[in-house]
Amino acid sequence: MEEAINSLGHLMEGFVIAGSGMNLLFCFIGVTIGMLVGVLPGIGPVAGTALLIPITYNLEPTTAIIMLSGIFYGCMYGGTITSVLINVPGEAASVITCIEGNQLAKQGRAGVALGVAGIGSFFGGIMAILALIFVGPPLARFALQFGPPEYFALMIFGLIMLNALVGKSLLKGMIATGIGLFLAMVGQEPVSGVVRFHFGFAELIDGFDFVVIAMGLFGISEILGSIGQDMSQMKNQGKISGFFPRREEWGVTIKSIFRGTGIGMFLGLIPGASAVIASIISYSVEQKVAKDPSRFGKGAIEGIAGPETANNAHAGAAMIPLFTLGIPSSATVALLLGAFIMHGLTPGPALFQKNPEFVWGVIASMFIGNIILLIFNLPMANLWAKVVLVPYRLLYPTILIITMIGAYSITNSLWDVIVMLAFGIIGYVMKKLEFPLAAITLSFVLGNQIELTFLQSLSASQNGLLIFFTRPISGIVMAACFAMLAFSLYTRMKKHYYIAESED
Amino acid sequence: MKKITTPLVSGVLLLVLFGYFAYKSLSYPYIAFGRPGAGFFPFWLCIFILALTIIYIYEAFKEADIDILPKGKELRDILYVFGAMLLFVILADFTGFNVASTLFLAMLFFHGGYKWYTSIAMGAAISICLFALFALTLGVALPVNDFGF
Repeated sequence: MEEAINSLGHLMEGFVIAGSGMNLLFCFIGVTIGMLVGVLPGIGPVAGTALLIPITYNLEPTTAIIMLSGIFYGCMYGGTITSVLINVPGEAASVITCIEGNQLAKQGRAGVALGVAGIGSFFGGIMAILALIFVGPPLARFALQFGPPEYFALMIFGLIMLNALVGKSLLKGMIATGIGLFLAMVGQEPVSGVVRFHFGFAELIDGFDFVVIAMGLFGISEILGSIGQDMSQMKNQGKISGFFPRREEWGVTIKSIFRGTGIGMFLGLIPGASAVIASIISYSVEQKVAKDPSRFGKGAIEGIAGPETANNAHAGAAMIPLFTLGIPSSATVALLLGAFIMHGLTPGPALFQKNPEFVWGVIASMFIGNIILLIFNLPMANLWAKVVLVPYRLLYPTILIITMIGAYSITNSLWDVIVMLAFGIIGYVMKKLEFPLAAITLSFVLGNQIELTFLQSLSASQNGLLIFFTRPISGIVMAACFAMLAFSLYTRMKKHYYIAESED
Repeated sequence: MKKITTPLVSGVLLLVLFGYFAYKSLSYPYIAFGRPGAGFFPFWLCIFILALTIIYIYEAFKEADIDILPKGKELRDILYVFGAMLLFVILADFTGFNVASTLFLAMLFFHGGYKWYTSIAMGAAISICLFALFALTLGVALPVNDFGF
């Protein structure tokens, strides 16, 4: 109880910080850009966030993270608009919304779809922030007991979760993870200072920049992949009005919002479980509990309310492992982690103690950001709908030049632009070969920490690798890793077996 | 004889690449001052990737080919856009950001079906706005030519 009161006190101080002129302005800019990134197909939240990171170099750390966080959860709101209006998900977590949202739009109820999504997203986002306020500090204190073996085990768990839950092939996911870890090895080794794998390029002494890799893998490759496609299938769905469901739909809507909140928040806490998984699981749950599952696929309102709430609740809850443990749950959150480090902040349990004004300022700004987004999403839905109608042939060159400016601004050198273009080609090829790019990004961001904690653990160990299994917390986490791997292998082998049987 | 498929080629490339990196890892200290050195982790990581790649190559023999290379118009479009980006990179330091960006945008707008004069006008307008935003407002040191733009 005392802790809760302390947290509320800190939160009030956070509102004072977040409500200051510059922070409020950049929160507004962040959520606007996030909405824009979410609305516009062809640029996803990873590339969008990566693009803005170099621009935050000159900002105060609190202001920078407020803006970048705004982009992160703003994308979740924005992706809904394209899903509902033109059946194109603005970002991956909005794929599910296409199924029901666009059907509702065709029935002339686009406003209801957007309204329910907006209200659910707001509720889920606020609940997740409350969880961060009350769960974050005790979790951070608990995490102070963690040593290198625990951190190593948690990071490996996050990577395994990501591969087990996302992507078609566990094997390709593991290879992609290995590639990402290897990319993190390029440059100066943090302990001994030995420069590795730079092949004579002085620019590689500091290694690759994560922003460059992210922009190349996600931004450039996405645009190269969509150039040949016809992105002009945007149809004007007519004026949007009537944002609220019918009276008889409110009960079902509210229940699915609560369920979506729980699912999103739970999965947001697990490193490696992304927002896409949260929305897919929420949709499955809604189908299972529905009295009439045959309505799904034809505009079932709970098919929007649940998943949209889940993906926004996930966005808020994903901040908990980031702030308290320094472990990102997805590629976008990995970029936030990189931004933290870039601004001289070390996310982890000590952050609450060492930089409380930063932590509570960012948390308070998330409340403000969610309110701004609710205002944006509903009354301004018609305006956002018009943005979607901008021809792609006008849009993608502008996005490309902004991306190149972003890469250039990192070290004021065209080297980073060249590296970004190279990773753009690599990303394009890997996408075609169905290798998950999120695995490369996440493992790259965690790579140095994984190596450091692994080597520190071995140095302290009397029994070699057994240290990871003999300490209680790391032992439990490693057991969970093996269980997850075994379960994933089993389900995939079972799927192959059934496919082979049905073909016979 | 089994057809040479794209996954198979990519698997072999990965095998060669990480085989080389594993070899290169051994040129860094494996053990230093009684602790794992700079070459320890990358070496075993490369071995891990090689083991997975061998399984991937084995799986590739059973899989159907994946068509990754774009063809026809799609290939021409991608090569054109990529060529425009490379041209920007080559020119930016000499001509300055505004000229290089105008040329880059004009090429892509023209390719998108706009008239050449419209493409140049739009390219110039967007370039100037971006220069004003990034260089003048946000303080990003974009490349400039001898005339200062």
